[in-house]
Amino acid sequence: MGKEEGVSATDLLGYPNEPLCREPWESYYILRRGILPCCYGSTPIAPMAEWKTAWNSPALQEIRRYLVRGELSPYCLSSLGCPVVQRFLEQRRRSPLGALDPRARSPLLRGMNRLLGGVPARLYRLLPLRKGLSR
Amino acid sequence: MQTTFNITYEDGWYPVEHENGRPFRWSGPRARVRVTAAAPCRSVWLRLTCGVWGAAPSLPSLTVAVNGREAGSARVSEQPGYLTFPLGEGCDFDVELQLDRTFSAPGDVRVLGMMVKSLDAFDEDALDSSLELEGWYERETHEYFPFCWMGREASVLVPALARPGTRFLSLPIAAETGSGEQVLGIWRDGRLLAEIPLRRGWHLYDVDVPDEARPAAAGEPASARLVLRLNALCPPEAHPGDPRALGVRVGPIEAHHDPRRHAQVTSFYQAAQVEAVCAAAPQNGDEVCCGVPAVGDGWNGEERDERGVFRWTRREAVLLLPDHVRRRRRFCSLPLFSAFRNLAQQVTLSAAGHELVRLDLAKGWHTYSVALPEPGGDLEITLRVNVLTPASSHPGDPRELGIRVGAVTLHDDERRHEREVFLASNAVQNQREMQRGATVLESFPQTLGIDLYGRCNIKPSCVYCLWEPMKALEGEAVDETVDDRTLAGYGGLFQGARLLVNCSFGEPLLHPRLDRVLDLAASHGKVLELSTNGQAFTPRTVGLLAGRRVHLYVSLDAASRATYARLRNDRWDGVLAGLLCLRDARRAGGGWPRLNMVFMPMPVNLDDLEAYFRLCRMVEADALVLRPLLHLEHPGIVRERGGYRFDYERELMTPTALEPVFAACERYAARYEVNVVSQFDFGLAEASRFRPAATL
Repeated sequence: MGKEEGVSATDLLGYPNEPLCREPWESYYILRRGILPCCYGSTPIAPMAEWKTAWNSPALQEIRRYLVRGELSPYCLSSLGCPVVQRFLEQRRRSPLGALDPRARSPLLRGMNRLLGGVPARLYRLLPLRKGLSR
Repeated sequence: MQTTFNITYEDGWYPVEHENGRPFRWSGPRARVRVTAAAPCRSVWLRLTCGVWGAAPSLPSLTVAVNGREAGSARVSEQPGYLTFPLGEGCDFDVELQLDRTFSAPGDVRVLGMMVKSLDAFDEDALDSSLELEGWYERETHEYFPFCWMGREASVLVPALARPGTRFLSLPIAAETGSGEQVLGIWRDGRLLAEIPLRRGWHLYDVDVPDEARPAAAGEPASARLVLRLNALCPPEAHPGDPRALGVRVGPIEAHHDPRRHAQVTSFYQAAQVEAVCAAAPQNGDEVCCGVPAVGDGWNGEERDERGVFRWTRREAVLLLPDHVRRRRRFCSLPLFSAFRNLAQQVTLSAAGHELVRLDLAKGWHTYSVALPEPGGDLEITLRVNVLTPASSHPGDPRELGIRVGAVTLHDDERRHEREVFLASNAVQNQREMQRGATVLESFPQTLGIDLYGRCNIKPSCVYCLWEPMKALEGEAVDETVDDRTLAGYGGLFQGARLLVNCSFGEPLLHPRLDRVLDLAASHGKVLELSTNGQAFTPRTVGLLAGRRVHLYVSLDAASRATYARLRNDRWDGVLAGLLCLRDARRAGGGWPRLNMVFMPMPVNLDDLEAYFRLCRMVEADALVLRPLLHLEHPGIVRERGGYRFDYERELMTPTALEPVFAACERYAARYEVNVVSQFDFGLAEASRFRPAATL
């Protein structure tokens, strides 16, 4: 899309005001396996029976809070089936520091991570490098 | 394995010429070829693709002699078609082709017999598909089924028919005429096996070969030759510009011994059931659909997007609702689309100088309900937007674009009006809360994921399905009933959602109260999204779906029986017949349900990609949906099926590996005129090479 008087069309249409992913606002999944914030959610945030309260539960609030900041919550980062997460991880892999990410699919790094009980991956999550999945 | 023959053109041929890049050669009155194979064969056939191209004053008769013995004779057709002759047993055949008349073209001194485009030899025992013998035009390959047009009568060799245990014949046929106008008789050894009233378009027909039609005495050689006879040719007006005498298109004919496949395919073609399917499309007598605005000022031309037909307004547009159409109906349902995602766009509706309503527009398509002024009479409603869609968002399109307006509906249902007002206001509030960054929401989700049915008809499950872990996760809820009553009980979560997405690990079309669920969704103006494996299509389920506002996602991931067997099972033909029945039901139901054909690119199915586009065109799919195989770390899923070792981890494709797949999809999408929707960029607000996942 082009620009209009120095303002891009995406700005005019309001794209920048959006969170990183819209799903936890727009969607809600009441499934037998539990409540999911999106169809790629890895683990349920609540059992099916709690469908009434889970919509504004602390777990879902946290997911939304991260996305508003342009970040992916630990829940999202554990939902590896999500293309947004995959895109993020792909960008991490391509960045110089991203090569340190044990979740990058290098067999050597994965093997080391497993040997060390998954600790490197958990430490990596604490690094401030995860911010800013470019749109 | 196919036998390789060496064919040498000997005397009696003119040099090779070309037409549209394809070689051909003219024969004289008498020509010879030599056919040799590395090893002796029991039964060899020689097939010529030949004709006289309308150049000869009369059609010659061709007599073929093999090693000095006559093998048969046939009339050469005007347009290129097949003539096939038995060469018999052996590995070395001296073939003489003799024509009973010749001609000379103006300005060409040659004495011409027939034009031969190709000459092929076939070993009957090595054939893995049917062989068209006589009465066929050249094979065409641009549709899902490779096919030949037959004339009034044609013969075909189906080697598998002579094998023990074979009981059924499967025939893909496309007629251009309506139901039953053309009837195809299938004959074997002078006996009529079946008569099939043909339906318009491609359909699968499965014929039971009765016992008495099989070889009677032991030791008697079973004939694999069938004769197909039509009661009538296709009317010439159905193929304008094509001078051939055309009957129907026939795809590869197969013989099989699977009674379940026969029953599945046949069930779709019993006339009464088909009529029931078409009659099932629900009608609503209380409303009148005025279509997209066609008259009045301020409208751009008619266009179409994934939702359907629409028109862009300019800054201001006038909607005319004549009294004879309105008939005192009190409400107007307006599907409107705004490109703005920040609620910056509003539309004001006014009539006779009075403002009726000012609407904040949520992004995408939403239906807004407006109470019309009393009393009746001709009505002019002016729609005026406060801000135009930025010109920079549609570069190259100089038009003034306001909002899109879909088909307008008038009705008198107050509850429907209230529901639509609630739905639209919830969407606006939901978007506002999201823009504000709220984490505790007063609005309800616009999409509600539901879990209709927890059982599946594919056992063992599809090779990539996470059936066991998901069922373990469901725990005590595995047998929980979810039906129309459950959904209605979700209160605001149900009321506020305009889209219900079924995400069950189970086949929703098997739901015992599917009709009630569909009714509930329809009565509340919801769009229901159902993912199905396609194996639950029956005349009943197709009939229930006809005309419903349902988005079907049919997960096939394959366009051939072999690939389908690697991913699922051997029920390919039933799925295909069901999709063709669904196509007809959708035509009767105004294009509903929408049909999305899902394809997850994986090494196992990449060879089927182009055929999948052809399939989508044949079944008139609204879109081909590209969906990623769910990314799993160390999935550890390895399954042997259909002669293939499916290793989940190996089937996950990297972005780099997917790039040529997407490029191929772009080419095929243009070639076969199939819409492609990509779910690879799920959730990301960015330009896509394909359409984003469908918006309503």
